[in-house]
Amino acid sequence: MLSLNIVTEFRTIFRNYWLASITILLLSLCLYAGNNGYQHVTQRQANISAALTEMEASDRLVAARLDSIDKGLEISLPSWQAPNSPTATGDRSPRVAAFEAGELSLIATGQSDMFNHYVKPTLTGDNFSIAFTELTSPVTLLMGNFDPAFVLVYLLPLVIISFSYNILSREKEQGSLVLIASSPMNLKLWLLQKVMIRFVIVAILLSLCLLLMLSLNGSGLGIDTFRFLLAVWLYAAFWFSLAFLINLRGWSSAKNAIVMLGLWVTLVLAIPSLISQTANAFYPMPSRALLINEMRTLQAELDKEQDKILDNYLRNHPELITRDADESTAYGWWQRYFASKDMVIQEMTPLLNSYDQSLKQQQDWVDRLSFLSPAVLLQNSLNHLSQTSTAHYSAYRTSVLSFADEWRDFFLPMVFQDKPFTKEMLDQLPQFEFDKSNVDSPVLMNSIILLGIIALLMFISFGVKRKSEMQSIMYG
Amino acid sequence: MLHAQNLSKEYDSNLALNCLNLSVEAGDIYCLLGANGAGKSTTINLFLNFIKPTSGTAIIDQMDVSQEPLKTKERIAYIPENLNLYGELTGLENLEYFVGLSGKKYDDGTLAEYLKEAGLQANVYKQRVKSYSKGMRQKVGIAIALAKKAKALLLDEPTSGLDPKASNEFSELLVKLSNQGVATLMATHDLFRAKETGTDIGIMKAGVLVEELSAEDINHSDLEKLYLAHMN
Repeated sequence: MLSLNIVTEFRTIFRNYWLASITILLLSLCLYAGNNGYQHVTQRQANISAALTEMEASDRLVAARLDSIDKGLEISLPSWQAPNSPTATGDRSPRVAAFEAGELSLIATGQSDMFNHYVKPTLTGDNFSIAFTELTSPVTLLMGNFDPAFVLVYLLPLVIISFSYNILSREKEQGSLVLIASSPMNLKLWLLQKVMIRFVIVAILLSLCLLLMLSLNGSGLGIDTFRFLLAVWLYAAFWFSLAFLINLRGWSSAKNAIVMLGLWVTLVLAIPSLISQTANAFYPMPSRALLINEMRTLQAELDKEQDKILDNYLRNHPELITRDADESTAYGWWQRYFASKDMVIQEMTPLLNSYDQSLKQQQDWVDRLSFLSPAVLLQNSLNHLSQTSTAHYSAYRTSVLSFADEWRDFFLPMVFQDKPFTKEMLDQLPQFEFDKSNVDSPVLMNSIILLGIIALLMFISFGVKRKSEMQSIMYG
Repeated sequence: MLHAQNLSKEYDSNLALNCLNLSVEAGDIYCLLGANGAGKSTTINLFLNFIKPTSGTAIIDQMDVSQEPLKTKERIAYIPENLNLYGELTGLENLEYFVGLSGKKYDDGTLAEYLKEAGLQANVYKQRVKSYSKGMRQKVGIAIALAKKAKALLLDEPTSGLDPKASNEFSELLVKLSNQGVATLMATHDLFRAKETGTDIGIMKAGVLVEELSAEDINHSDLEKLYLAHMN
């Protein structure tokens, strides 16, 4: 019966132009969305490249100036900009801490449209925690760019619904179901075969479209590509399983369509939104504006404890701190500044931790409830595979903060010991490396959960016997 | 071949079929007459196991339909009032599919023979069924029955809407199958066709078989009078 159904199904959907329509639709969506994702990634990489180029040019200039200073030549810079000043170099020649795009970054924009993909930690710069406090759950990011993730999470279910909502009801309404049901075979198995054939058709077409999209946009094919396709197949299988269950109810095509669309709204829009809202309600994030305000207030209070007039004046006008001035005053100011900075950090740590804690609790909440919506599961997987997940940005933040500390620790001894920055030290400058290896992948777990949901749907379809089932299918 | 034993069906306390007893043996063409809602289609649906009886038993070839739904379906062919096949497939492909669902596989030549035997013209075998008339589609239904080698035919108003010529051709095919030993149970409103084609006639009213007679024992006029008498 399977081969017979395959042949008949292909003949039918080929002749009624369904195959052509769905191929064109999927291809158009994938290529358009892929191009959008590619543009996004290209822009990101271009920004990083420009920053790196600028850093290299700056390094060459610093090296040349340090060389001149070594040779006892005059450089046309005020003392507070001279590269042999560790404060000046620590502030004016920062490293670029970049978050490079991954092989599959084009598939999901994720958090990537909310942040720069490089930062330049400086010696006297702000704590970078503030720059990352907008990290939010991926659920809130479900709405957004027309990228491949949007096509897959939002639009693919609609394509599947249109391709599967009336498999059985159409047969009933056109009158061929009675002929099929009078045949000596299991009607559920027959329907399952029809659903599976359509699933395979969609899975193959979609895979080809996605692979074409990836290869056109220069993404390599590796194990992550297979994981990506697997996640998409399972998501598609979920929607076909749901269609199978709905078809078995024996309702009319119109009712099937309404129920399926209702489920789409519930699973793709309502539940993710509900998860997000409850996460905000149960684990509210402190206001970012409040955080910044508190930070400034604290800084201001600490400032008052210093030599108020001169220190504040010099901080606002560092160009006035010259080598001609009393050195103890000039460097004493920086020492007091860094000391007060440390106090700010210490005072702010509990508040920042509460931010981190709320964020973690929100993310845990989302993770715990993600099984309620296959859309959230897929979005999470796609964000991870494209390295635009919350976990990736958290790891990036941690790396950047760690690097910022390393940068300060490199220069501060020189500041406090009044030692100059030399040309030889250029090669010893700390270099940023983003280690993503400790970012846990949710793809396998999400896939297992999706498989479990599919198995549950199959169990309900086959395991739960309804009274007068055939009657319901034929006349329900 | 087909036996209804005290067969009853109730829908939400409405009795659609009340204790029906009938037998259709090999070679018989049993025509069920009656107004809409008399229980004719319910009887057919019970034999097809599309619905479960409230009580009683539908038996095909000595097997209870409820207990052996697949085995009993191997022995029957069903032609509804509107035989709607797959419009995008040809007559030959439709025949191949529906016969294939019964687990039988034939080459195109054999399938074409069955279509020919059912009276379909050879030039339409490879035309898409959406261009077929109702009579042509009913012939494909007969071809399915032939190819399935069904022992029993269940027909639910199969000649409704057919022109007289097509209706006559259909009746001739039924007689032909009957001569091959196929038992036929046909629900119909067509008194003339029932008298011409049937070997036995049953008249149903409100779920009850109120009259049962041999087609040979009554003429057209008397059949009509008897039918109307029961309907009033």
